[in-house]
Amino acid sequence: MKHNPLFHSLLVLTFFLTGCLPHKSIEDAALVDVAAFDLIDEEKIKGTMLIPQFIQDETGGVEEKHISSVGESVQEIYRNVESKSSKPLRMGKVSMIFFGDELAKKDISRYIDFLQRDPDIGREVYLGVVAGNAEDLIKGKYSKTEPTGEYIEQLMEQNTTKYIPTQNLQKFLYAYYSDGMDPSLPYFQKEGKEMKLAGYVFFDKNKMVYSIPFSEAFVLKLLSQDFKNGLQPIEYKDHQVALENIGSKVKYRIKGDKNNPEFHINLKVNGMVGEIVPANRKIATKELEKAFKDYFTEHTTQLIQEFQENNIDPLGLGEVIKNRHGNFDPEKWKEKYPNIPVKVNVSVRILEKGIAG
Amino acid sequence: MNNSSTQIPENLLISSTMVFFLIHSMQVGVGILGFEKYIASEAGYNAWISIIITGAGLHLILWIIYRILEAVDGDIVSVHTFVYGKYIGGGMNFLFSLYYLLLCVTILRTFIEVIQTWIFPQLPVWLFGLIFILLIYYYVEGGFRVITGACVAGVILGLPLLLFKLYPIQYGNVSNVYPIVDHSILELLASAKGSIFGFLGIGLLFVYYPFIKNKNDSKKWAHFGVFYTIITYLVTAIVAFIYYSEEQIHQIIWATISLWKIINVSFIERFEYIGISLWVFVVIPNLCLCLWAASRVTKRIFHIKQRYVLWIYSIILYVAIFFLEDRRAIDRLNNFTSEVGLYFLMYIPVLYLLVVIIKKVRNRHEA
Amino acid sequence: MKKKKKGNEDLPTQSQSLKELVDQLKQSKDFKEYELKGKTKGVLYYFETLVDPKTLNKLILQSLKSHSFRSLEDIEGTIPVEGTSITGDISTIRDKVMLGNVAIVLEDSDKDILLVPAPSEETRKVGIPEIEFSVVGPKEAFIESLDTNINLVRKRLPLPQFTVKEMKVGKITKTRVAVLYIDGIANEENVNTVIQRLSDIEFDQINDSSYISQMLADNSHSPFPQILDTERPDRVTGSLVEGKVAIMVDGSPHALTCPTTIVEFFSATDDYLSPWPVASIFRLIRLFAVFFSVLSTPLYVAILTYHHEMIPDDLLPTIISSRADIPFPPIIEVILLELAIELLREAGARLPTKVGQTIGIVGGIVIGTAAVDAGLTSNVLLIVVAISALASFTTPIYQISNTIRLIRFPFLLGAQMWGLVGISMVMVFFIGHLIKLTSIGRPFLAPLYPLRLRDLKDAYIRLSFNRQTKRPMQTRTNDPLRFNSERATERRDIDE
Repeated sequence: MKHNPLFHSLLVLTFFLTGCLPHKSIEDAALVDVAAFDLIDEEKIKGTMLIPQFIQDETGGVEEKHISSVGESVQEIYRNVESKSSKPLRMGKVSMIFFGDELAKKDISRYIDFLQRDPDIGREVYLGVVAGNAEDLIKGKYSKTEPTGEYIEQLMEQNTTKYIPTQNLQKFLYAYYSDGMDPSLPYFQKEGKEMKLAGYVFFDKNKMVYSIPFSEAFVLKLLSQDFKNGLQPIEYKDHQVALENIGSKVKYRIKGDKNNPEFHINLKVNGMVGEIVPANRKIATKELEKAFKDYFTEHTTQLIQEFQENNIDPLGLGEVIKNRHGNFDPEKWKEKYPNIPVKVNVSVRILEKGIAG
Repeated sequence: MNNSSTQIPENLLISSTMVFFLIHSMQVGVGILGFEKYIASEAGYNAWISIIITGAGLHLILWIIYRILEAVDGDIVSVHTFVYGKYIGGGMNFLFSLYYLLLCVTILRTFIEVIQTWIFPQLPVWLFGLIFILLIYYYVEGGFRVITGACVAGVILGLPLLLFKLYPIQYGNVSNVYPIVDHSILELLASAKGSIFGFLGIGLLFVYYPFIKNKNDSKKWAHFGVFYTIITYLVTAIVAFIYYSEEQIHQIIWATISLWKIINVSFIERFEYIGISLWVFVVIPNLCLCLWAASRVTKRIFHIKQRYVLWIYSIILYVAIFFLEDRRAIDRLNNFTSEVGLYFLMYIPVLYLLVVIIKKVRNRHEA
Repeated sequence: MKKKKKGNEDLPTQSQSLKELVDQLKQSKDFKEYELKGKTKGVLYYFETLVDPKTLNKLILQSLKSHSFRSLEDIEGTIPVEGTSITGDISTIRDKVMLGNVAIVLEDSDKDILLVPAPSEETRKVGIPEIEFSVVGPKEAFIESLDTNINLVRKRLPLPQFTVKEMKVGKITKTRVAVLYIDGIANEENVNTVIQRLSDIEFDQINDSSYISQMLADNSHSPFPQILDTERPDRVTGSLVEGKVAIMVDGSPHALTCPTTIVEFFSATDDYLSPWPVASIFRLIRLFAVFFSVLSTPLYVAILTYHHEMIPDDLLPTIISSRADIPFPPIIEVILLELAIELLREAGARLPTKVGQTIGIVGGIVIGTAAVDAGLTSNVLLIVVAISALASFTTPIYQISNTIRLIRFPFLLGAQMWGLVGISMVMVFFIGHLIKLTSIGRPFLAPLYPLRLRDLKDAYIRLSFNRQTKRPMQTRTNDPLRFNSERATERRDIDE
């Protein structure tokens, strides 16, 4: 082997030639944790960035800084926010983005494009729509120990496992671009000093058109995915009964031919009775199963009808038919969709009734 | 037809198993980071079928290449000299050499573009390109054995990246790849053409064939290599189709990298930074092999030292990446290279026919 | 090694006759000229400091004084010392006297001189290994005497094929260098390469085996040691049985074995003394420690400088608040701390053991805490650097741990320039370098590249002894089979 010392030293030397990149160490950047966008008037929107300021002392506490500014596009807001910040803005760690409902009803496509184009932004970012003003929601202080950004994220995560369909930027983009599906987002509300998950909203591509209350969200989740969590209280013969879901499965089937399809949604719920108020030992499991079955059948059917009336397809029935039958024509489907028969077959099995009689 | 310079000293030969790594690592490069968009634009979700079609075609071409090389027993230079004679053959060889230089430029520039768009928009190309080319030079200067080592390292380090593909499936819609065919065979073929950029490396066998110790045994490994490549592409495409909706995929230039974004292990988030960085290990063997092949063919034509050719080609490579500045130019370059590559792949069966005919004619003459 | 100028074979003013030699040597105070006044008349020449007084007084002088000799042959026949010789060659006489022989000149003898070896050997006792300590294994380590060292190996290899070749290396020091191998197992090519390279060495002094190790290296510019050095006789024995060649140097308590591979530097003797699952896990931990040691601080720099997004949300407050008051960018912070650690290590190595320990504790605790309190470094980094330093000390072979600490710095540069991509590029460079490296012409990165599945049984993990049926391919041994594998792997059915 021949060794050329000149070559070696050149190799080392070029590493020293620090034609380095402009950089800012992590503590010198303003890391946006939560962002909120509200509509001001026809043209302008207002963006608010929540920037946690980590301070080093015994408490290791967090101060929060909110910077708002107005602009016509996200980039413009971004620039205006930076004019008020001592540190450069970084969107890389953003964990949640809120849209005010006025904005959501108008058009959110502009903000979505920004999110999918910027390589800094992750795909597990949560999106949400806020009743009223999104800025007020993120300016609230909800916990003494947790920073607001983390609080909101935890709230979202916690509820996603139980009551609302899994949702993040990727899921939104998937549905947003798909011909056979429409996006949907969770709906938040500020109630006094608390924030709460108020329900779920549905988009017709880029416009919010329909919403359901939180109590119905569980049914939507049952239709959207298989999961093992959450509970549903119902009223049964003057009793309040609650069913804990310990495993639900949903399957979409298509019957009929290509031009006249008929959807059959098979929903299986295995559950455990968590609460009967007032206590009553005489209610038979079979009866309860029937009661829950009726409840779920009624509510799912109703939900789907509402979707069809609004001509939105958050469940992705179009995707199903496209994947099974091929040769999908989005426009024809849009016309046909409101009148397609959808049947939900629910079966509920109660496996346990808790550790007391 | 035994050309004296095709005889490689025993200690420089590689074992036949290594052909697996050589074939596979050359086919998996920057192309796989963004080929989903191109294949899906023609055949939609059915594009996975076109990958299988391409795969079958590749196995066939590989078989043909082996037949040619066995008939002539040498490398591309001896094949072309055999078929066309010294001068025309030399010209063909030189074209061949330039083609691999072009491929090298395309791969390097595309990879730099990936880094520019995804991590460092302000990356100083002059310095990065220089150091990258010096790295390549360091490998190529070590000879074919060292390049093969780079291939092995690339395949081994690329393996965990393949496993990480399983993660995004949980966010996707598995029924997207329901096997229903709603695209015509023409569309499928057009889509297969879209994926061709990734598969160009197979022709390099023409150059390193004399370096294989047990040539007959290596066939099996070469086919394994192609098979593994097809599996890799198939898995990549299927995962992307599950993860993205069909219309979404058209929006995304680098589908595989975008897909890494969602990977989130407890101690690290945002896998794409790791993925792109590890991709250096996958791209380096590509570039080394191309540059090595280009310089070796030139050496064989003109009988000059390979080191000198290597210097010249490295400088050409360095200059070329400067002239390609924006996304559109790089896209054009990619398309052009794919086009040329496709013609080259189609030329291989023609070459086989020529070899067979000439061999028969000469045999008759001798008889 | 190229020979540019032809060096003098001998030093100037060489004496041609005995008288000149004696005059030359007399300039040293410890050279003695002793005139015999008993029955035999003659002169004894010797170095007082080199000769063992017991041998001189009890054996040589006693015989000389109690008998009357007429010729040197008579004396040779009587003196109860082995290895005597009679010669007239001045250069032989000079060399032998310098090695502790007593030169006897009879009054009436003309030219010839009797040389009686009576060297006093000042060596320490065979001690316990200090660098490659093993908890349960043998507690013998090589010492500075070549003969003792060969003895330590030979008593473990009682077989006639065990061959020791000896040669003298070094123009001035004329150091004895022994090449050890088992004939029939070791590949002749390896043995010949070693002997060839040893005889090609052109250097004035060989003070330790590390000189030889560097001069025999295939690539002397590499930071990686390409020949393994060990102070354990059992390790040398193990290598010899695998078909390797060992080199021992007089005056050095370390033996060299080659050809070697990079994994061998990370395998400890204890790996063979504990059950194989335990041994494999510990070996993997050690290898992981190496990667951690090399990559942890570069990753810190890369992620904190360029890739903030990769830090998990829960870790973010900890890192940011610890960095908040630091006036330096991460790279400066890291280099400061790494240099501090290197200083501590260097100071600890130069000082006596007890003081060294104190320095370690004082430096570690006092400087570390003070640096964090003063806001010069973040406590997160302090932990990272401390663990990575600790990890670099887990390597069983001392030399590679120096390498590991050194190659961290190019990685830091790469990280500062282009973040993770920079780290990858430096890694690519080192992988290429390792692929190119050879040890006595055998690939250094084996069994990873060239891929040798058989050798992987004792590389990153160690499988049980009955699976190690063959000697490593690395050594190209002449006798690959260790034992009859069929008998060892025989399995009985249940309840038989």
